[in-house]
Amino acid sequence: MLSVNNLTIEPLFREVNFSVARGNIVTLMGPSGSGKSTLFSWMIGALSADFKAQGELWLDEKRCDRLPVEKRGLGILFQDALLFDSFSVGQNLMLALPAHIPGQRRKDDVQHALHSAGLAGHYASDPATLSGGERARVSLLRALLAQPQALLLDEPFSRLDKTLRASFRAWVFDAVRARNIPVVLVTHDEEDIPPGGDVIQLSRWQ
Amino acid sequence: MAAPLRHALSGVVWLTMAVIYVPLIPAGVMLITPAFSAANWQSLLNDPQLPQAFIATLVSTLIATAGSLFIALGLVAALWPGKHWHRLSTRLPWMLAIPHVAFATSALLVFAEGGLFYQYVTFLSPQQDSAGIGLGLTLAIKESAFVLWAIYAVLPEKQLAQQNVVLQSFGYGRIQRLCWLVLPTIAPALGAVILAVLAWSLSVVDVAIVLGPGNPPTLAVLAWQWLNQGDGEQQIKGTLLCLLLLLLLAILAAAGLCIWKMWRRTLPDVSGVRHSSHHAVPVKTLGWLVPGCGLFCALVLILLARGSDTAFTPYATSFSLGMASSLLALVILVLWLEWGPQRGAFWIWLPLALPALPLVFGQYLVALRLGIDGQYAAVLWSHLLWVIPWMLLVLQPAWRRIDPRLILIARTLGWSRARIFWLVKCPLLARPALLAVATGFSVSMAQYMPTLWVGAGRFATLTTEAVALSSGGSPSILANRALGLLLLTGIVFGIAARLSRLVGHYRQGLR
Repeated sequence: MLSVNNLTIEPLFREVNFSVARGNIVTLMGPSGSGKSTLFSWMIGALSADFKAQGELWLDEKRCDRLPVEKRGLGILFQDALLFDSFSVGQNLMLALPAHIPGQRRKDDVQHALHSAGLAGHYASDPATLSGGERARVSLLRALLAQPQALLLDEPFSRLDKTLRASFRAWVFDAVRARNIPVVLVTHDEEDIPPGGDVIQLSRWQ
Repeated sequence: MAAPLRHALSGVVWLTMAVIYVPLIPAGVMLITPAFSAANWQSLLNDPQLPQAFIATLVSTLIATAGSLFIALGLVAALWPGKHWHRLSTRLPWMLAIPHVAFATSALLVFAEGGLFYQYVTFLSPQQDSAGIGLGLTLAIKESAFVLWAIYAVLPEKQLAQQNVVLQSFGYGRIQRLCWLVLPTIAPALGAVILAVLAWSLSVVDVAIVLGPGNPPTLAVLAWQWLNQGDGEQQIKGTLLCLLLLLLLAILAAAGLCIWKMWRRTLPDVSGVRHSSHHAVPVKTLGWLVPGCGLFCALVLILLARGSDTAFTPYATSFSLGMASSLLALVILVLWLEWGPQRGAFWIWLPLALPALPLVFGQYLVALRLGIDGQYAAVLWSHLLWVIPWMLLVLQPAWRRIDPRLILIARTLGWSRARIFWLVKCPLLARPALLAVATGFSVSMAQYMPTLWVGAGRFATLTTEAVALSSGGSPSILANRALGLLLLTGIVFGIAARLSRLVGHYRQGLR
């Protein structure tokens, strides 16, 4: 369970309260400029010092809002794929794997993940040579391989063209549901809302 | 604009550049000619001063280059991204605007025998520093500001910051993020900057005279002394030493490149081990480190300077040379950017990447041949060889940032090229031009060898005076000259910043 309790970010939000159970995807809706990314910055722990924020973030029994980014156990997916351009696709994914997975299994896990995403054979590829859709898929694989306790999706579909969007969206929702972790999605597009998921309008906190 | 006029302008600007850069050729010839005689090399290598001078040069250069890189990257690791990183950028001019000689002078006044430090900390006594460690450390601190400034210019903010959050959410610490994300991104630009720092610290003469070991001095100072003597044999030894400096530069640069390539191959460490940074970093203190040294330098000079004799001439000479060369260079460069070649012309950057000594000697040879040494115009001309590339360094990125669609729109309005140049491009360049003029001014102010050599010793600037006074002049007059150097540069930077802010106030689009 991921919960945000009594969060106030001046001057954008007041009294933000919501929680997401394991295996659920909650969609936060709001037009561009409504502070969606700011809310996520606070949740992940990278809020700019220009904002004053007060509130609690809980991940199961662990209070996270005072922890640094690297200790929170949250994963994030941005609009852009943001692959590390100086490394190969496989290295990008390897970096995400936790350290306790040993040598050969690391490579196997990565190959397996690539295969599951229809990217078999791209292990040694330069990220810059991938298409937009492929980059987006690698980006989600990377976020999932890190085994996050919860996942934040910051309009991850908005940069993809229409034909790609529907299939990528379905693939993402299947993949994250299979992990059984809480997932928060922010978007301004009603088509992005997963079937059967809760929707919260951001305007109710503004 | 009519084609003939365009060709004329292009021709004029090419000719001007050629006149400024022509000393590169005699410098090259002069360096090569004596190198073919084994006897010449023998006499150089037999010189008893050489080994110790070599050690001092190597030690001070390595400390300066590696130290400045270490300080700058340490600050990036600790402060980027965040508000303290931005604050550091606003404070960096406190250090950048301080001329090298002024900074070195204050270090001398504090740490030399009988300096401020030993007056107060009496249980310590000054150590013999024949290896140039003090010189290296001072240069490292001073140059770190320059390296940081270059990193600011090339570090892409938003995208990299988001990638940084991704890597951080995986649990990786500061150092790992610096090595895997920031360094590969800034590597090409950083390499060029480090090469410039390396070339500069290897061949610096003025600061090494002020702070470096005395007898024997560093290689560059030794070469300077030999070339200054009329004796033919000494001059040959001097030119060979210049060649040796070039060779040393090539070897060190190649070694640096090798280390980088080898280290790059170990990246990333895909074992997934996270070296998370538990320790809270004292960000406030770190943010003040480099600017604080600049302020400290100013404070020392203010404390020690006594204004009993305020000779006006050095101020006037420094100011007029600085202003004339930077304004002249601005005109030349703007014309060059518009009517010069669009790509290539790498030779423009050579004065930044080569040891200054042979270039100055080349200028001197040309000036002697033409019989113009000792004239004001000749000194101005000699300064331009360094003022031009430094100012281009500031102007060129701004010029490239001009949106080509803007030019296209202007052309659809039926405007001529000259009109577009005046009414579209020049105004967009207003703020970078102010910064460039201030930079050019400070570069001209700092010129020691060309002023002395091409000026035939007839032009006393604040820099030449400060260097001359550093070996056994009165500390208060020395501090006075160094303070003048600092104030003059600081005032010009301040006025440029003020005007630039004014431009930005009235037209917020001009950034």
